[in-house]
Amino acid sequence: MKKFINDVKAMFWRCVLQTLRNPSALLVAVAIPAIIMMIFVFVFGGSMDVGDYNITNFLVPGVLVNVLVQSSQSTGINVNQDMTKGIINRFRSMAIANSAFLIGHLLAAFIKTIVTTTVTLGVAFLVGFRPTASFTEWLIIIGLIALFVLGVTWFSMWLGVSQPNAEEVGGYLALAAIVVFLSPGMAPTQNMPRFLRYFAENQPMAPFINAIRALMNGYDIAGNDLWLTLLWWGGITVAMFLLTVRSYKKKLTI
Amino acid sequence: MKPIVTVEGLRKSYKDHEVLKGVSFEVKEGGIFALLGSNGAGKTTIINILATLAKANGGKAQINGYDCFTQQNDVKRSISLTGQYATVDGLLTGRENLILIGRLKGIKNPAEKADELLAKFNLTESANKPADSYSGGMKRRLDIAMSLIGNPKVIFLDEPTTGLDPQNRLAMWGLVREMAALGTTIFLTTQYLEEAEALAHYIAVLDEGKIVAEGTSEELKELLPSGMIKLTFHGSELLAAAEVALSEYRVANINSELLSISVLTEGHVAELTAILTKLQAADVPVLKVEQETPTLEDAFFAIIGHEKESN
Ligand SMILES: Nc1ncnc2c1ncn2[C@@H]1O[C@H](COP(=O)(O)OP(=O)(O)OP(=O)(O)O)[C@@H](O)[C@H]1O
Ligand SMILES: [Mg+2]
Repeated sequence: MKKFINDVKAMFWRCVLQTLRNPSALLVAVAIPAIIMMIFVFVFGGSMDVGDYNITNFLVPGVLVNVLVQSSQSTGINVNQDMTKGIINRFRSMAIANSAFLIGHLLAAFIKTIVTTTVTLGVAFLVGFRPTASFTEWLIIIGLIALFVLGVTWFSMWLGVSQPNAEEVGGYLALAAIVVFLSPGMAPTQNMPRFLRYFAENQPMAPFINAIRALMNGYDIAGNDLWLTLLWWGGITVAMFLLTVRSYKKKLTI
Repeated sequence: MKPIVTVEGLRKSYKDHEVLKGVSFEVKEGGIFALLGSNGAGKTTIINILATLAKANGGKAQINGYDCFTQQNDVKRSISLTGQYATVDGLLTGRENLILIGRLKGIKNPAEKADELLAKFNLTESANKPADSYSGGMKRRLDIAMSLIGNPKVIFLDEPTTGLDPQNRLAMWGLVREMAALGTTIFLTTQYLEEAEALAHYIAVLDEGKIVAEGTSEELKELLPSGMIKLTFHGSELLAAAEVALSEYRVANINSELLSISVLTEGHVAELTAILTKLQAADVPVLKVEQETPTLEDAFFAIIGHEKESN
């Protein structure tokens, strides 16, 4: 056990260094959504009907989801590089648990998330974000974000393990980041065509966005949004974890 | 002395493709062992099985007294692997790579050890640059430095000089000898006979999934025929006809560009007469006859060629 913790710590240290070596990836992950947010606030802000919300307060959850998905890209890409270049063979020839490798990446992803979330909320604050959540509500928000990040990171790691190269990993995650525009995150869903509206209101990001938006603004969470968030993202986390482990084991069998 | 690596009847297939067909050999402790084989012979497959990365379909393998299939963690603690393709983390600096391995091996002072190895491997100047920016030779040196951490009993080097220029190759030879001098057993693979001859205390020749010859380089040289005759012909049909006519001889090499064929002999003049008579009987005129001294390389191809016929 002591050896296991030592190995995870070493792997974690390595993955944090990997992230630091590529600061532009993080910068892009935060900059693109921040720019999108500013365009929405300053260009469309006047013409968008977001009900009782201040426009920035309305946009922050969607922008945050976009940031979190974008910034999980580098985790998947780093996992993919490790798997396809030789380093994984060195690790496997050493007396360390195979899981230490994945756990190191996962923990580093959380550090990355803390940074990107803080920067995003800071930028949001500069352009008018005024949350009214209480301390307990913030704790619930953080918990939900952590669960969401867990799901997205395992998805990213699954892509990293299973895809033949980094381009594909990045491509799929960029696609996932676009799906946030088909959600209640960037615009109210009432004005969408019927089919898109159905998708936007029922896709897994929707209850998460609705729930943290309500919490940030001091409203009660509507209907089942909290349970749906827990179910969706708990389920996605478990499914992606199992897929990753299966694919990892398969790749390691030669 | 007890062997440090024992391999017995090792078999491995990928789907229908039988890669190892019962490989057996032993490696004595200390010194340099070379597994010599051409592309696709199965060298990396053997290393992967010994380093517990791959599963075998049959046979036995032991390292340092531990079973490679059932005592994998003990085996892992006895070895280090430098793979055929750089086993370094390109995003990390050279120094960080070394510290990482030190931490994973649980040694006392990873940073100190890293600096010591950087100096020893002439990497101090680039210590704080990402390994991806290193040249091929530098990457290889870093890779091997990483393998030295934790004092493994056996170090596997899979084609340590492939892709290096002649100068770096010589430097690498020096390094390998130095490591062996410290008492570690070096298990290397190579496609180059001259490399095996220059470095190894014991050589095993792998061809099509079997060990076809083994011994010290002197012993392998004794397998050498003492003479070789090179015959040149007018055209490719004649060359083909000659190949058929001389099928009972050991052919070291056939060159379809120079239209020549090299036949190994015992060095008697009578053999030359017999060969020429054979060709005459088959109606194959000879353009040129030359007497040559066979090299270890010729022996290598003769062994492989010979084996292929009997398969
Ligand atoms: N994972 C795999 N799946 C299927 N076939 C494989 C796999 N790995 C190796 N092989 C096949 O096994 C054979 C031996 O491969 P191996 O890599 O052991 O050769 P090698 O002697 O190391 O060659 P080289 O000098 O090119 O490195 C080759 O024919 C190769 O195509
Ligand atoms: Mg190989």
